Amino acid sequence: MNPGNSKDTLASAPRLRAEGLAVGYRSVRSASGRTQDRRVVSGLDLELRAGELVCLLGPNGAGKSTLLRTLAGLQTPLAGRILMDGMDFAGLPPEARARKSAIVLTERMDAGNLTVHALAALGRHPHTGWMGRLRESDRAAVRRGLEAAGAWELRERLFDELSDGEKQRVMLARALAQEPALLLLDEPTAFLDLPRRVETMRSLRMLARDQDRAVLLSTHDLDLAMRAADRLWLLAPGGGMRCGLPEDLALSGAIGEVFDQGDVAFDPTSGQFRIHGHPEKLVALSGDPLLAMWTARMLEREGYGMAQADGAGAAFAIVAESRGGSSYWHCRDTVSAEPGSPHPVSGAAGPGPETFASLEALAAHMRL
Amino acid sequence: MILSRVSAVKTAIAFAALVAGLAGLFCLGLASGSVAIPLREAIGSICGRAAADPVWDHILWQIRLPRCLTAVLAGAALALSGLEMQTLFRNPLAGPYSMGISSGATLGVALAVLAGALAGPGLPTALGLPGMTALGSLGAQAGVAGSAVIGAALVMLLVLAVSRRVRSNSTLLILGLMFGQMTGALVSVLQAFSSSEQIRAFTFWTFGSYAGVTWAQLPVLAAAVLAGVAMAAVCAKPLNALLLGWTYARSLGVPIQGLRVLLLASTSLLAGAVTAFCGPVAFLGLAVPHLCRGLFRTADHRILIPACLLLGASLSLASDLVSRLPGADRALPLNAVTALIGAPVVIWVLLRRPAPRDD
Repeated sequence: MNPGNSKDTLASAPRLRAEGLAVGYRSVRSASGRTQDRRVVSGLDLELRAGELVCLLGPNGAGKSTLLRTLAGLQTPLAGRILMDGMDFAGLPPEARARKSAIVLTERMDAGNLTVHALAALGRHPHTGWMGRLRESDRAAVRRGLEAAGAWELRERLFDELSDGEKQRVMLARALAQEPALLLLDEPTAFLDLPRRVETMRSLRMLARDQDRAVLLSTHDLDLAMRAADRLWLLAPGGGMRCGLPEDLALSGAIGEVFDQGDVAFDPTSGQFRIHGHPEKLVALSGDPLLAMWTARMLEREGYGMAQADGAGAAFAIVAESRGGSSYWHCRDTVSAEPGSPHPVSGAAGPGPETFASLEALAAHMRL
Repeated sequence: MILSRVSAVKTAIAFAALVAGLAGLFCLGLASGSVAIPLREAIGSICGRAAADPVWDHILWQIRLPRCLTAVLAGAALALSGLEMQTLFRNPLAGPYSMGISSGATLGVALAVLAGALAGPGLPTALGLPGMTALGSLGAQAGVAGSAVIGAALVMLLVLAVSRRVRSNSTLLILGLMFGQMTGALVSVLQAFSSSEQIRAFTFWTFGSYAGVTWAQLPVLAAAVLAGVAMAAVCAKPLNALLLGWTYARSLGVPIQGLRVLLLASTSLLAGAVTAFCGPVAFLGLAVPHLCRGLFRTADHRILIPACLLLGASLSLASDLVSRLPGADRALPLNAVTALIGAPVVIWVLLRRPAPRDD
């Protein structure tokens, strides 16, 4: 027994591999009346490893769903091929394919009067005989799926009576009951509240790790994806894909390339999107780190930029101070200060700083 | 898969009740009619013991037994085809009658008989019940049934093709209705070539009736229904997967094309054959699946298929019983009775769901 070793070998062989993949729709009638294939993305070389959680990101219409559906075998690729554990995925019979991969779609559905348990049990479809009788092992798999998706308590309820978030958990449970080596999810967190989102991501990640499944999900939640994913697949609007560690993609500027639009730009320093691309005035901010962080958020909303650590070019210098359970902000206009002073905050010259006892008061001041 | 909310015991009890109900209705169907026959005599005669009155024997064997058997076969077949269509189109209001499948079968029969009538008797006479016997041979019976099945299949194919483009359930229903109207119009055109007496016979045929099916025709009907049921039984598991929609069904490994073909063949056989012999019987196919879902509180086709067969047969027998109320000289149109049972069910379905899925 050497679990560490076996995990290494598993991780070295990609579970899913796509070579020269082009996805899109066959024979779409164009406006001119000719029918032709509509390629959404092409020339993709992708690898998905067991035990890995990968988040697929990209602007609306970049082809995330199309790619997911193609990888699931629901759409045939326009070019290239998909290998699943080394075998041609398209050549597998449908049931064999369904034992290897499961998908959770975004489309809403009504499910007759199926109970939650009955719906999740449909995930066992490719594993059961022609009558679909559930063996003990099938029941256990359904239960595990429901529990992992946090839907075990819902099992007696009718699916149609659930909320959107609950429905999504049940659909996830159904996919998990299928026990696929590859789990594909199209925006699984879309209808969930924030704690559920984080929880879903966490459980998907654990699922990938502990059960050695490959999990690929599309999402619009870049922040969450960057924190939870082992890898990101970034789908650029004009086609083309950037893959890598979230941090690498942030550092290389790839995230900005894919998502920056108009005034919205990705800021690698904070790992977040900023709305104001070109602030007119800079502020040198120092003091208590927690206060400073939230003060910076307020200032950015008011249209200010953050100066470098040396404070060069700053029009204002603000020191945030936490003293005796209260917070104070000392703000000084540095434009009228001595031009030669590189550290206007520490300098004694110039007009004295104004002090504010609340962030709201400071915001009102900065707006003027 | 346990797709049921109700325990296995309750399911077993419900099935036992359905079987008992069917048996009871069958006996009642034998005993009652314009000539009342004591229940014990009726059962005895069917079991091979001569009845007290030889006329009773004749009535039982030549009229009531084939009529009751036809009612059982037709009700079971229509209910099952309705269940299949409701899942196939993911539409609670789908059924052989509401989607024009029965009209397709009618057109098939009309065309077949017209072709035959160029030499023999006129079309509606042949369509009408005495005419069927005039056609005589088993081959001719099978030919008429066959063309009904083909007519049903063609309309079904058309609706299927449209359903892949049109997502809206109500649009699909209206289209089915239009296909029905179109085939109905074609039948009317064919009628223009027949005498008024023949038209009258045809009109009676469209009321639906189990009375005209003879011993010669029963094996053809039975064979078609059995084949349709067998195909449906094979589809039970993939039909369950289809409850999630085509995309999920595919992702679960259901061979979509094969399933479409099997369901098409099954529903056409069931609805087509019944229409050929009994006329277009309304509402049974639409209403019975909903009653079964309510009764068994399940969506599992492995339970719903036998349930629809049993309840469909029972309601069909009951409708036929009501249509020839004991003591009444004239029979009510079968379709009037089935509509009285079926229409409230449809209203209930419409009110329970806010609207058929419309996207």
